[in-house]
Amino acid sequence: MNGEIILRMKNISKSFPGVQALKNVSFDLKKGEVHALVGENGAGKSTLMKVLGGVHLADEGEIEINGVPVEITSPRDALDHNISVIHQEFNLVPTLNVYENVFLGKELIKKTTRSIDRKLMREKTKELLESLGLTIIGTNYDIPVRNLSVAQQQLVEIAKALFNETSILVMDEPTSVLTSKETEILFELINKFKEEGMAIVYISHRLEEVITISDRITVLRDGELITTMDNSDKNVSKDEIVAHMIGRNIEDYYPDRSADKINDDVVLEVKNLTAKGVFDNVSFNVRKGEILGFAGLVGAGRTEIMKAIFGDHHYNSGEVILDGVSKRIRSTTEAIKEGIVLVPEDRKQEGLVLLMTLADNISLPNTDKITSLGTVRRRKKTSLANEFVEKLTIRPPMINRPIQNFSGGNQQKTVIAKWLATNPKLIILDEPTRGVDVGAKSEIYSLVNDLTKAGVGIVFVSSELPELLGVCDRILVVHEGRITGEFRKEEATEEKILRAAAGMEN
Amino acid sequence: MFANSKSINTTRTQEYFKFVFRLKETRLFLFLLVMVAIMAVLRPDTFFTSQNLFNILRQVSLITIVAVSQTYVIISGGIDLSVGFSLGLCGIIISYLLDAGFNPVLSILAGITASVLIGFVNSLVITLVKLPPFIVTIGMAYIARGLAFVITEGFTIRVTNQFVSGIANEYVGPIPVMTIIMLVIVVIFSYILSSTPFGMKTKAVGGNIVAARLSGINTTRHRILVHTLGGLLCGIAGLLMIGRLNAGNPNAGMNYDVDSIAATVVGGTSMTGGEGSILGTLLGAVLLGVIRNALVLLKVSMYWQTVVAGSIILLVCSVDNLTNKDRK
Repeated sequence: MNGEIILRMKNISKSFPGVQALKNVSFDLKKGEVHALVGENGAGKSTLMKVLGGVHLADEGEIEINGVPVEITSPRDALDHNISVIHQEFNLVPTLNVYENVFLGKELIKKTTRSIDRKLMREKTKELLESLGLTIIGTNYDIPVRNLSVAQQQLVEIAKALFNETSILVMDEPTSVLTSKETEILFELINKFKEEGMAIVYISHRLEEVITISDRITVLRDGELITTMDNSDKNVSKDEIVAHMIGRNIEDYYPDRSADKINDDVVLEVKNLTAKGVFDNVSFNVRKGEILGFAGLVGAGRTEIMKAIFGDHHYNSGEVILDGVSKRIRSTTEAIKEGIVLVPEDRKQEGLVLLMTLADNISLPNTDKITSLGTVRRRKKTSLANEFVEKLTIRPPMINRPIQNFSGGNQQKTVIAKWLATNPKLIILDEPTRGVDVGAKSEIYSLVNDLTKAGVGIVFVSSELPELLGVCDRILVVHEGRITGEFRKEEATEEKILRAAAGMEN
Repeated sequence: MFANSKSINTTRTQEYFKFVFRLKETRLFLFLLVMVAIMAVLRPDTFFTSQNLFNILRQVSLITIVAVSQTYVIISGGIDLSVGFSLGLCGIIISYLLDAGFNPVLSILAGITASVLIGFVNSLVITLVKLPPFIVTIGMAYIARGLAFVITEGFTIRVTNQFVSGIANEYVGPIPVMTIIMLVIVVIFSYILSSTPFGMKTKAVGGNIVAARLSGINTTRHRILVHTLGGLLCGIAGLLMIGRLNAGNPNAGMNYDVDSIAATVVGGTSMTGGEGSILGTLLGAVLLGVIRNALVLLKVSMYWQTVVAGSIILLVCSVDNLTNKDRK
């Protein structure tokens, strides 16, 4: 029975306005196997699983379960076919407790009074979790799940999936919130499920884990299936996977900065910057032409520190010194005037006005350059937009098209373009390549590199360690609002950064 | 659009026409022409006379001026339910001071300042206390209306001042002065919205206030300016109203809030902010005016007028939404 193909997704294509998320992808799954799905952000992994889970409807393609073609047009359909998906963002109701969440939609009813049988639900939940050896929830079955730790919440999600008879289990980034000990427990569970014949799709960025747990590894890139590798001996090389993910040699991916001599001139110096409860005593400097990286866990406070420098977040004490002169920047307008600009974390919510066109967005902080006699001159606006569309190879070069119709990578380039037009001294980039395709990522790295040649200082905030290690000259690590580590490029390693990010001594 | 297309075979003029054809304003204008044509056939003697047509224009002048203010506020992401009573209060202040013998210029300034202040205070509370515009402007509306009653103690004040009466009732040739004032305002504010940094920033603030702020726009200052300017327009409308009625009535301004929103929305401005058109608002107001006039001439009961007006609003906006392929 194990080894039989239970699921076939054939020639699946799916597009959204501005982006082709999946192109003709075929994916199959065997009973009793763990099949990993890897790829960069935006490669299509989540989209493919959302098609399987009934959240999105594919534009083209078919799905077969046990050799029989099926139509999955809603999450209900997926559940009826015994497909359970554990999403990256949990689907728990924070105000309900453990067993209420586990039985959500399938509540057990007392036959006599037709009311909800809480006692029975609680018992069955307890039974299941204990049978799996999961005692980490302790006796907390009655408290709202929002009071549980993230790891405990994940287990509730898994229990939920198991109460639904599951033949196909999809786990999307299951370990991103777990410690290594908790991950071990999860892996034991997964192995148990395998033995029982469950077929598991495992999506993750953590390649070492993927190599440990999976039997086959499929790589997606820019919506296409690149390859499916056999990993039954658990010895596929990480470099091989990465090479497939980025589609080129890793040496060519990040620009070579060894030849660049960084000036000693400091463009930005931050001294003891403190915002109560958010960040504490943050001090660092950025030199002209330097790329300074900021690593840290989600919620460590990096974005807040950057916004404070940009005039969009208050701080109680500390100094911001630009080109040797101490400045009190109280608004973004002032920051921009001083030459400090920020490419925000969430380009759709913070970086762009989606209703407006490409040209409008580039014009927004640059109205002084395109206005004469109080009027915005269309010709100047057009030529400004075209100048940067060319410089940054924004595709398609239609400046009067609404920006929401462009792909993530081109949208991001637009945000960068609008700032370049202001001739900044310092550019802060917060997660600049999130949700950007591989090609555009590489272009952004080159662009950043070129900017440093012109003497611009760059602050690069990112949660992708390989990116930080490849792009930055120096990396600072933030943990709970404090700087806990500083590493030069030559001495930095993923492990050192992770330890500092978790607040551990190095 | 036409400056950047890659079409080989169409000329620049052809592209321009395609562009104009797709505009919401064009569709609205055509709809208006159709209405006028139908009425011209049904009532050639009463509807299709220059006197009646200019009459319609004059009737919609006041509401259009107020609607321009409303359109700006809506595009900037807010809404203003105090426009009517702000207009009313301005009129009351002017008529009261005139009646008490004050210098007419100062009286007019005082009234208009009141409306400007109402707009200013609205925006201060919205941006600094961060209350929703809906609530703030409703509160302000009650205050304004209440003050109007306090000042007049419920009575209506007669206005006999020649100038005030003049600008609201005189004609230049066949065209009412009030309409000329309205058209000047429409042209100026349309220009500001489409061709100045101020207009662009208004759309940005309404489209995505966070992105606007992170692009260096002082969003607080901008919203204050928009509301205050809007107040100025309401003040001007208040002045014209008392001229028209030759009286300051504390109940004045009753339906202006809803009607100004109707004209704005029929004109194609989105309630969620970020985009819109002053020309569209003018067309919307005129369309609603033509329909009202048509119903009267067709001797339809007055009570049906509001039903028809509401239906037109739903119809025009539904067509807009359903044919808008850009929106998801």
